[in-house]
Amino acid sequence: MRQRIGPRKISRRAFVRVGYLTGLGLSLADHLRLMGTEQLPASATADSVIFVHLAGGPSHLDTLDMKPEAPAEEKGEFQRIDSRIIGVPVCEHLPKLASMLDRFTLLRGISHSAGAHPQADEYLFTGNRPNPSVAFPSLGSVLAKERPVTDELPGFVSIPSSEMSPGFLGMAYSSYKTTAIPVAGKPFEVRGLSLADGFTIPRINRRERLLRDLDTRLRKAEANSSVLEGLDKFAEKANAMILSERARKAFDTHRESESISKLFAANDAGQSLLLAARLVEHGVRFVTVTLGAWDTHLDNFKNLKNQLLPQFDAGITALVQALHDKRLIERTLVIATGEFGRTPKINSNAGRDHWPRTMWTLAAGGGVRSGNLVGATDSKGHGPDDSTHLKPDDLAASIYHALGIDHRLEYITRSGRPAILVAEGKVIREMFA
Amino acid sequence: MAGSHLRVFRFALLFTSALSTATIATGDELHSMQRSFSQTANADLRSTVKPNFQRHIVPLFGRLGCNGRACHGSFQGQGGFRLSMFGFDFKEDHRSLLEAESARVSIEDPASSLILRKPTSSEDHEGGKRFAFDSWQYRVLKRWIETGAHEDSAQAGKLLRLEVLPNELLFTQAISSQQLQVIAHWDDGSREDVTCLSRFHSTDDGIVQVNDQGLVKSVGKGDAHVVVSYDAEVATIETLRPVSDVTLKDYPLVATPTEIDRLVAGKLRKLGIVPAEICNDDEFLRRASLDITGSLPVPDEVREFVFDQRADKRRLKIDELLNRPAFSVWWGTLFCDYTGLNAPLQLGNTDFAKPVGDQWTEWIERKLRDNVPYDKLVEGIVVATSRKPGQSYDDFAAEQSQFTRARNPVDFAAQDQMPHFWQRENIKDPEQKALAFAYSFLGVRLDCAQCHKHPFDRWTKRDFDQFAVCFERVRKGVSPESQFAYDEMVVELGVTRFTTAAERRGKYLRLAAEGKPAPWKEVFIGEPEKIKALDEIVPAKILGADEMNLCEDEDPRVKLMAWLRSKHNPYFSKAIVNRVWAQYFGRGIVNPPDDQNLGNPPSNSALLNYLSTGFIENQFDLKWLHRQIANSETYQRSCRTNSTNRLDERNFSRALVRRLPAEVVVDAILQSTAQSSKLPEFQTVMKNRRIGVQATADQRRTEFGLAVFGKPLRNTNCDCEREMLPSLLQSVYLRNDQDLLAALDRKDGWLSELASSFVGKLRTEDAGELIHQAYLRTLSRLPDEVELTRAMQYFEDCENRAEAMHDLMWVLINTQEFVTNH
Repeated sequence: MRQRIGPRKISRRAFVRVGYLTGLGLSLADHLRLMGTEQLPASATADSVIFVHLAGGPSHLDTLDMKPEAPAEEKGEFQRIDSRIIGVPVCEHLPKLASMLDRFTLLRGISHSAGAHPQADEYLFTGNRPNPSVAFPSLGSVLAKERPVTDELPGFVSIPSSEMSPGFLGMAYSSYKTTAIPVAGKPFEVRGLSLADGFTIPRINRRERLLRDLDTRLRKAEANSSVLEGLDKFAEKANAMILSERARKAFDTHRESESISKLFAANDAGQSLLLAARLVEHGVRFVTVTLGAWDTHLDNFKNLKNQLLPQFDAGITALVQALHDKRLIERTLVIATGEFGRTPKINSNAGRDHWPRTMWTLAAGGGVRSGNLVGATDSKGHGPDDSTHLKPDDLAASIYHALGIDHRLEYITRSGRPAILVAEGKVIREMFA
Repeated sequence: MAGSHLRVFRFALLFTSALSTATIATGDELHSMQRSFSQTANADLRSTVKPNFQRHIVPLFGRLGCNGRACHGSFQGQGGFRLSMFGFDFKEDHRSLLEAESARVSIEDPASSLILRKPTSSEDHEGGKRFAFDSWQYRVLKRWIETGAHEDSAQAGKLLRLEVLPNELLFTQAISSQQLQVIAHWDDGSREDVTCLSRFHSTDDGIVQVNDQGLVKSVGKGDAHVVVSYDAEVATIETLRPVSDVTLKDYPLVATPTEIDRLVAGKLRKLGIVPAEICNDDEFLRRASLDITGSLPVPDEVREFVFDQRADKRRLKIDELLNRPAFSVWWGTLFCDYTGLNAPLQLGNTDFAKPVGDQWTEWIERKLRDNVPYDKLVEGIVVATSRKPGQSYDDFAAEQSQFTRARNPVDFAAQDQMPHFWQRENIKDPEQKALAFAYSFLGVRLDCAQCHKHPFDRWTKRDFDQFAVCFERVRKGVSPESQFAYDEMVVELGVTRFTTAAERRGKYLRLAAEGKPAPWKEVFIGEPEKIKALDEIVPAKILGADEMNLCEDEDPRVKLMAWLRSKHNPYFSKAIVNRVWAQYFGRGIVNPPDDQNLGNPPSNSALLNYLSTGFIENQFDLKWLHRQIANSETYQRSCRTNSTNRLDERNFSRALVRRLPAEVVVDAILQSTAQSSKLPEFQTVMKNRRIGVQATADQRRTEFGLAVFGKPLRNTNCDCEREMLPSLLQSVYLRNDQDLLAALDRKDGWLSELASSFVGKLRTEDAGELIHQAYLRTLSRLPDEVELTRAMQYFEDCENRAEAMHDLMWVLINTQEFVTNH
C-alpha cells in the first residue's frame, strides 16, 4: 500500500503476486512482463554466469598480487613466475593460470571494509554493504527473476550450496542447491531431482493420478486463494522437473564427453566446475560454485601450496577451456573471487587474517576483455593505489552490465520500500572488450 | 471543478455516511493559496498574502514532485540542486534555494529565478514542465520571492491536525466520485484550505483512485483508504463501495456472540459482505491446534473431539491447547523472531553466543508458559542490565556461570530480567537500537525517517535523531568499572592476543559448563557525562512524546518503559494485539502487522481499539487475548466462500488459506509419519520439535526443510523475513526430497511399523481402517466416501501393499490441505 513514491508504481499487491507466482522458471507474471515494455536487452554480452566463490578469502599477496619488495614479516615464501600478460607475474603454484591469463581480466585493488565472512559475502554477492534495513538480493536471484528460463530446469543453481540469498525477492528466487558434489566416474544424483530406488516413471504417474483425484477439497471450497494458486502452479512444475529426463541429464556429469571430462581433476573443485559448465550448457543462467577452505588463519602457505592453489589452478583453467570447447565462452561470464584479501602481516600461526582493504577478482568470457589488468595496489599490497577506486558495488554493477541488467533497476522491497539494485556501483568499463 | 471544490464547509456540517444525502452547503471560505493566486482573484487581496516557507513553499515543492526521490529529493540531488526528500529540512532546503551564484532565487529580479523559469520550461528542465507561466503556483512562488524569500518556518507554528472532508466516503453505483477538501489546523488557531498543497494516494488502486487534486473515483467494489499528506501530518479517510445489495437494512441476521464478532459484522454490514459459515469440528481442531500450538492434532484427539457432545467443547479445547507446552514453545519462537534473536550471528562478538542464545529462548518460553503479563515480559527485556546494582564484576562473572553449569544449574528463565536483547551485535549503534526497539515493541518501521521525512507518517529525521539519542547510554561489552577485573581474569586464564578465537571460546565455554567464573560480557548504562554535549544539540525525545533528560536519569530506559506501558501509548498494545491477531488470521488488522503508520490504517479501527484497550484493561494478559480471538466466531469461520465474501481478504469474513510456517511443516511431516507409540509424545516432549529450533548463523546451517519453507534468520527488522508463500523448491521438497522420503521410510516410522503386518491379503475393512488412519494423521479428518473408494481402489490396483501405503501417505502429504492451515 505504500508504493506511491517515485515513478515506478508497483502496488504492494502486484509485487506480492510477482513474488509468489514466479519460481525458478517462467511464471505468468514473467510472461506478462516479457510481453510488456521490458524487452530482453540487446546490450547483454553474457547469457549466463559461473561465479566461483573462493570462500574464506584467498591471500592476494600469495597468489595474483605478489609483492617481492615487501618487508620480511609480510613477504610470503612463494616465488613469482611470468604469466601470459606481460608485466603481470603470478605465484609459482599457478602455472596453468599463468599460461592462460591472457584469456582473463584481472582486477586488483578491489576494496571494502566488511571484515567478517557473512557481511563480506553479502557485500560481494549483492553489491550492497549489508544493512539491517534492507536485505538485498544476490546476483543469481536477480538473474533468476529478470531473465527467467522457460523449461524444466532451475535458473539459479549453487554447487554444493551458497550464501547467495534472494533477500527481499523471496525464497522463490533462491538458488537450487545440489547439496552434493559429483564424484568422477560415478553417476551424479541431485537432491530433489533424482529418483529413489523403486520409483519408476509409471509408479510416479500412477501416484500423481491418485493425488489429482484426492486433492480436491480446498479447490472446491476456495476459488480465490493466491496461496492455492501458487501451490498448484509449483506442484505442476515440480512434477515436470522430477519427470524430466533433460533435467537429470543436465546434472549428471557422468554423461559428459571424454574430451571434456578429462580436462577436470577428479577432486571436488574439478567436479564442481565440470558440473557448472554442464549446467550452463543445458540452459541454467547462474551457477555459483563454492570452493571453501581459503580462510587460512593457520598455515597459509602449506595449505595454499599443497591443496588450494593446485586445485584452483587446474580447475579454473579447465573451466575456461571446457567453455571454449563447448563454444559457450563467448556468452558465459566467469567470475572467480573471494570475499576479501588477507593481512599483509603473517601471524604467529604462519597464517594470514581477514583483509578487506584489498582483494582481486578474475573475470573471463561473456564480453570481458582478454589479457587485461584493471586496478593496482600500493607497493606493499596493503591497499589499492591512489588511482584505483574499485568496490564490490562496482563489480556487481559490472556483472549486471554484462547481463544487460541495469544495475540501477528499482525494486519495491517486501516492506514496501523502494530499493535500487546497486545504488553505489559504477560499471567498470575497462573490464569489457 | 476547480471552483466548486474550493467551497469550504464548517466542520459543523455533518456528513451522513451515504453521500447521496449529503448536500453541499455554502459556508464561509477559508484562505487557500490556489484561490488567492488564481487568475480571477482579487489582486489587492493577493498583495496582503505572504507565503510562508514551511506552510506553503515546501508543501508546494512536495505537491509538484520537486523534492521526490527521483528528482531533487534524491540524495545526490538533480542537476546540482538538492532538496530534502519529502521536505522538512527547512534550513538546508532554503540554503540550497538561495545558494549564491545558483540563480535559483533572485530577489532583485524575481522573474529570472530558476525556480520559476525551469518548471515552466522557459529554461531547459530535465523534470519537464511542472506548471504554467503565471499560473497560481507560479504566482505563489514569485510572491514568496518578492516578499524576501525568507526561511520563516519558525513563524509557521505547529500543525495540530489535518482535517479531510468528507471524512468517510460511501460510494454507490450512482455516486462514484468525490472531491476531497483538506483543512490545516495550526496551533495559533488559524485554519487554511490546503487541498492544493496536499499530496494524495490510494491504498488500493483497484478499488479507489485519487488524482493529485484530491478527486476520488471509485473504480471497484470493496473498501480502501485515501491517504492525504501535508506538512508533517498524514490523514486517511475510509472509502467503501458495497460488494452486494445486501447491506444495512437488507443485511441478513448474523450471530455476533462476541464483541469481536459484533465489530467485524459492523463493517461487513456496510460492505454487503455475508460472512462464511462456522467451520466443522475437525476443521476447527486442526486450525486451532496449528495456530495455538504449531502442531497437528493426533488421530485419537480428532476422533474424541468430533464425538464430544459438550456444547462448550471448543472453548474447553482452546483452554487445553493454551496450557500445552507446545503453546509456549511455538509462540516463544515467534517472540524470538520479533526480538531478533540470532545467537550465532548477532551475538557473535561474545564468546558466549550459544549459552546466551539458549537463555534468551528459554526465558521467553518460560514467561509465556507462566503467562507473565506482556508489559512485564517486555520490561524484563527493556530495562535489563547484567550486573545487579552494587554487584562486583567478579561476583557477576561467578554468578553467570551458575546459570550455565552442566550439573544442576540455577534457573535463568526464572529471573525477572533478560538483558541479551541489548547484546545484539547488529544493534550496536543507538540508531540501530532505535530501529530495532521500534520494530520489536512498537510495530513501527522508522527506517525512512533515519534519513528523511517519513513519506507516510509524521516522523521527521529530527524526530528519529531525537529518539535514537534515548539509546545512547545503553552499552554492551565490559563497563569501565569492570574493565580492570575483566582484564585480570582474562590474563589469569592465560588468554593472550595469540590465542585463537576458537581456543578462547573453548576455554570460556568449558568454564561456563563447569560453573566456574568466566569473563562474561555485560549490558550496562554508560556514564552521562560523555553524552552531555550531544544532548544539547539533539535533546533526547521519546517518539511522539516527551523530551527526557538523559543525563539526570539513572537509566533512561525506565522512562521508555513507562511510556510503553502507559495506556496512552499509541503503539505498544496495538502492536502485539495485531501481531497475535495476524498469526490467527494470516493477516493483521493493520497489515503488514509490523507496519503501523498513519498512511497504513487498520482495516477495522474499532476492532483494533477494542482489542488493544481490552488487553491493557486485562493487565496485558496474553492468554486473555488468545482466548478472545480463538473463541470468536470470526476466527471459527470456514474458508468456504460465498458470492459476497469471495474476494474479501481484509475484513475477516472468512478463513484465509495460509501456508504452514516452516517449523510447523517439518514437524507435521515428522508427526504424521511417526510410529503409533511415538505419536502422543508430540504433545508432551518438546526436545526435538522444530517449532522450538532457533535461528542458525546462515541458511547453509539451517535444516534444509526449514530453510526451504522460509524460517527466518532474523537478520532484518521485518516480520516479512518469515516467508509464508509457496515456492517451487517447496513443491520439489514435498514430492521428492531425501528428507521427506527418509521421514516416510524411517525405521521408527509408521510405514515401517505397518510393513511388518502386511502379510497375506489385506482385508477390505483393514484397508479402510488404514486409510482412515492415514487421513487422520495428515489431514486431521476422516476421508469422505468418494475419497475412501478411490483410495481403496488404489490398494486393489497395487500388487505391493507397502508400496500402496507409501504412495497414499505421499499423496496426502502433497495435498494442498496438508501444507496449509484452512
